[in-house]
Amino acid sequence: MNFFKRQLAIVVMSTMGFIALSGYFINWTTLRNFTDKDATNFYMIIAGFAAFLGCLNLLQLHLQKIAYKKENWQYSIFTLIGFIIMIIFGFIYNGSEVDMGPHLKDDKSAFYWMYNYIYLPLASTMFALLAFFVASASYRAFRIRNFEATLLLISGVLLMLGRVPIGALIPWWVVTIMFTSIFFAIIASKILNRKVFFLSYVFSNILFIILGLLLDWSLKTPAILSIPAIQEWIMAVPATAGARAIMIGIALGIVAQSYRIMTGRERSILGD
Amino acid sequence: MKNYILKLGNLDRRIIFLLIGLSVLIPLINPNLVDLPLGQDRNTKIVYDSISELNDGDRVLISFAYGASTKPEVHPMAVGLLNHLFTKGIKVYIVSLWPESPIMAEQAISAIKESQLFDIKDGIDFVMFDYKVGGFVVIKGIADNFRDIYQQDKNGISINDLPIMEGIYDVKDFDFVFDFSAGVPGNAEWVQYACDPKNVPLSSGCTSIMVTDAIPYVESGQLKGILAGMPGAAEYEKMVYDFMVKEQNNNNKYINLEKDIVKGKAYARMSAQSIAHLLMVLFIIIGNIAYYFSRKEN
Amino acid sequence: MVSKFKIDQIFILPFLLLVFYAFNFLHNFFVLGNELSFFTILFSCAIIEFFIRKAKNGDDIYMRPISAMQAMEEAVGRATEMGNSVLYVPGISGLDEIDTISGVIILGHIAGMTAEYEADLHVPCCVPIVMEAARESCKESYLKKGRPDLYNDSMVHYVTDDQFAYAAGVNGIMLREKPAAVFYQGKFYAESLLLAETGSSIGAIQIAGTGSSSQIPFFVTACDYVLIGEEFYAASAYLSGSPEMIGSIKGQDYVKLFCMIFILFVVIVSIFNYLNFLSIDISNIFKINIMDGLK
Repeated sequence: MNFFKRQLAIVVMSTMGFIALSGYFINWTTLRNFTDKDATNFYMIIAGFAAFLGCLNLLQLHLQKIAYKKENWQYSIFTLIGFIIMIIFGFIYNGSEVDMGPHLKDDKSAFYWMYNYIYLPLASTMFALLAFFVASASYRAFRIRNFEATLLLISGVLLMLGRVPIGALIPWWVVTIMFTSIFFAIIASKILNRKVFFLSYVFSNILFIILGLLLDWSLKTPAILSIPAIQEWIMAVPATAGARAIMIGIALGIVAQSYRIMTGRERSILGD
Repeated sequence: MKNYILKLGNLDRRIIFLLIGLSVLIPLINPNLVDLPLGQDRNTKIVYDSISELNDGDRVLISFAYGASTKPEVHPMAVGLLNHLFTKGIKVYIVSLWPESPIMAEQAISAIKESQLFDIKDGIDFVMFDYKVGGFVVIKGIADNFRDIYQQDKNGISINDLPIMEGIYDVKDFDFVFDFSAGVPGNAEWVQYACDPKNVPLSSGCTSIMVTDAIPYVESGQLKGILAGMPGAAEYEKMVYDFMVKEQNNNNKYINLEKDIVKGKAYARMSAQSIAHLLMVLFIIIGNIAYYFSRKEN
Repeated sequence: MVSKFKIDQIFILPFLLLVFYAFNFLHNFFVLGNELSFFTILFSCAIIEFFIRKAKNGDDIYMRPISAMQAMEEAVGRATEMGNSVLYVPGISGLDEIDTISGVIILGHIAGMTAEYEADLHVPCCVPIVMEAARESCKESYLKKGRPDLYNDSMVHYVTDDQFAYAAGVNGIMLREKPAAVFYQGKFYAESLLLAETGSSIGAIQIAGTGSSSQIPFFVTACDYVLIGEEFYAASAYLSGSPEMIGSIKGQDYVKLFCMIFILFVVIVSIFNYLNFLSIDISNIFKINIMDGLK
């Protein structure tokens, strides 16, 4: 039994890994058909049978909870009701003139009705919850604790405002005040005299506003004082650079992990 | 005053949820309450220009890879693109890479038909294919041999009997590929397995979350611009709306001149998103002021 | 001298493969247009193997401490002290994703810790096949720690395949059971913030790790510790402590170093190109053009 769980599993894992990799480089139709179609079909069949196991596990778990009246067993009733209803509408009751099977996509079938009027709103609602959670997460996390957190805060605020129409309405002098505020927030610890700090902050703002009025920035706003332009720059330059770096790191991590698995060194997944 | 600010720093999450909910709900119920001018993001403009460069009779492959949860964000882009393509008399080929995508594609085409702006016929002006299991394998298959992957359309008609399928053998036979995605398989797979190796222009519309992953491909030119979430959808809808109005006034042969052109849904939702974002920024500022005072106190 | 010869043997096979590829001895044996990928994979694997052998031969390899991995044991300890369970979320993808495999591997280590500390472990799964793999992993870990009595099959169970229904299910588990420690290790999509925020609201210590770069910011915002990018893939090697695995991480780092040098080289060539000192279009090297008809 141990041979099947360990050595044979490692041999199968390594062989299939090397075959899949070779399929990408070797110009042999049979091999490429195997890797592109057959191997995928093998996985789909295994996953399909595993779905039965999942459903059985779901039924077993919730029926046990109800039978033994374990904690929160009432919720399991709803789970089972939902499960049974979809089984009925998917496999037993049609409701349309189309055959069983294609009826899933026919807009007159009961299954489609359930999809359109129950599942679709529920899924959209769950996705919409993200808006609320983003608000509470950013309220809690975007604090000026250290340099990195400050950077996260500034870029987050600029991107949030820049992506929506309201960003374009924010005038250049508000952006100027914002930049001077950030600058003075960073150097605040260096200036000990509060009066000097406050006066220099006020004078800097007044100076920039006067400069802006003289140079007529209301008509021709420089890109650095336009939030949508700043947002575009953040996306095009630092965000792209960061995304590329993480992408390369992840790709290398995948190569190393795959190599360890294919050469049989990573055996923890087999329980070794 | 200080105590009040400190209390604001520890605001109950439920109050934040309530205010965010109201800031989204009120503009949605009454869109005319807040009417903000829509900008033009550089990437949205690139998408629009790329589609505008296509000609009458060109072939565009559209990949639907999103589902019900991301429909509010991505679906308006899909409808906008279809409007744009049909106005220019471009042939549309629709493939679905997610299990729910055929329904999304069906709803998008139904929206076009219900507007009665175009006289489009299945098999002549557009063709839809059913969902195929395999993800990136399907994309590879489309890139190498389209007819190997799809033998019949969604209605069960053999592709050899469809006039629109004449001359289509692989991805290089398309003039443009457009991908609507909310996950995997998505624009990255289209770049890696089909469009970049075969040199076919590709663009994408995706959820805002996916944009950071896709932006390296946009900056390297492998993606011709990107429609980034709801703001991208709204901007693109507006551009397409202005284009369609202009074409209708110029007696474009593809548009029904008697029907009104209606603005899309994303446009109406932007005011809600603007207010919600502004509110979040206010919360962040309040939180930081409270944090400053609490640090001083400690 | 002998050990040096042994280490150099590693490069013989890749070199032969490269020569075979370059000259394409058997007509059209290899797919044309994939040269860069072939060379990169061969090179990466050779370097990784070189450092694995070096580590096996007893070389001391330094690994910088990663706070998230050190916090894993603390998190399980915290759960034991509080008398609450440990919740492990292995992501929403199947075993065809390397993230899920890494997640299941890390689950094995966490299960070992919970067996040792006698803490309850709860693993809700999104994909049935992952449930089976996770069960095997947990069972073996408990057996290895000599605590098979603490393991039972209901620890690892299936919830649903649907992304947001799964998020709703896991959120419900978190709010009812109030685990003291929550691990998110695997492939996540938009539901990541839903899970992390709910975990934050119950006051649990949260440790996340994913290869989905778009979800990393959400985890960073809401979780206590995050394994970013390749740290997640290195975590299994880090936790095992085996010299072979740690050697592979060093190899990976060297490949990254070569990538950085190459990027710098390309930048310099591009600058020279721009200033008209050179006229080489270096971007052509990176084009993968799989030719038609060579199937």
